[in-house]
Amino acid sequence: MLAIIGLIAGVVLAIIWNPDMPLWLQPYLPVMIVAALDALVGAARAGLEHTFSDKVFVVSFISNVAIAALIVWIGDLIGVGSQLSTAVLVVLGIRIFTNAAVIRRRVLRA
Amino acid sequence: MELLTAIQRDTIEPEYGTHYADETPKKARTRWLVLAIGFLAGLMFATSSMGGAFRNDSVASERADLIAQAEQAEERNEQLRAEADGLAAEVEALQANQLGRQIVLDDSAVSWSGIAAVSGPGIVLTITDNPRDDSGIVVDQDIRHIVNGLWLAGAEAISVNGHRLSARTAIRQAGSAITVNYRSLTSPYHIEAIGDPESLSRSFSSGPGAAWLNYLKRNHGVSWTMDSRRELNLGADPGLDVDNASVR
Repeated sequence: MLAIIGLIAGVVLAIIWNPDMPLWLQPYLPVMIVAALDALVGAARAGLEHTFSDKVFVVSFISNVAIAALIVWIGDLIGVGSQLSTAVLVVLGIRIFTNAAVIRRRVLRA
Repeated sequence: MELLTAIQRDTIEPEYGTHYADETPKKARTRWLVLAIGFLAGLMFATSSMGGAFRNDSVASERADLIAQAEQAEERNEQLRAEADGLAAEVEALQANQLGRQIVLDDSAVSWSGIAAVSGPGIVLTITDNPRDDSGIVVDQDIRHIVNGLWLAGAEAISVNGHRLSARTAIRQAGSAITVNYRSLTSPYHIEAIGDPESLSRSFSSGPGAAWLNYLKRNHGVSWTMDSRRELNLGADPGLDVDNASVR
């Protein structure tokens, strides 16, 4: 519940404040967003299954985002940044879809 | 293959199901962390979706910088020109003072040489690029032909977009712009010529200048008009100066 409140507050604040992303963060933002999305969808599923844990959510979110950015950063250093970010997006995408499917089954029973 | 299956099997953090779930005490701190993380995520989503993150700030600011630089240089150029004009007037006054008399120049020499500002009746040609056709762009050669046609028709003084033509004037192409006296011009081009409006327009119309313009109009859609004016004021060419000679 708190996560959802925070989410809404963040969106509202960003719309009002309209911040500029620092330039050095720009290449990593897409991957970081997908990682964050993965953590959120995972948390939503856990919430529906009554296994949600604050600690796991916080840790998984931060580590997902950090690792996603780190992988792309390393990829950039060795010249395969775009390929590695594609790999990250594929893996996270599969996870998001699977979790979303589980949520869908639970909520809609379909 | 095992990797892909694993990805699909363990889509959720496995810890969610384990002992962490039932640690109800000491929740206050992690609660706030959850709020903060949700907040962070919302910030990220909204920022990126609104395009704030992907605004090409560097390119835009670089462009703005270059425009500002060009404008500054233009302004500085303007200032220097005004300064040169002022100094020229001062030199003239000092000369007159020193020599005890005004240097008397023949009126026609003054107007043809472009050394001083002149005014009088004349005609104005306005020539406009054809924006719908790449070949409908007026180039330096066109302006030269028209100016030569005006001289031939008996013009006594000519300026192009306010730049007075003198013996030292160069009408040249620099990139995509025409430069007169090394200053770039843009369409529409106003060519002012002092002379008897009637005879000037008559002989220009029957001369090579008008023929050239009509050719451009017919084949490239360049539009042009000719008006006569009772009073035209043409400035002096600030580029006229003595380089090597000195008074003995």
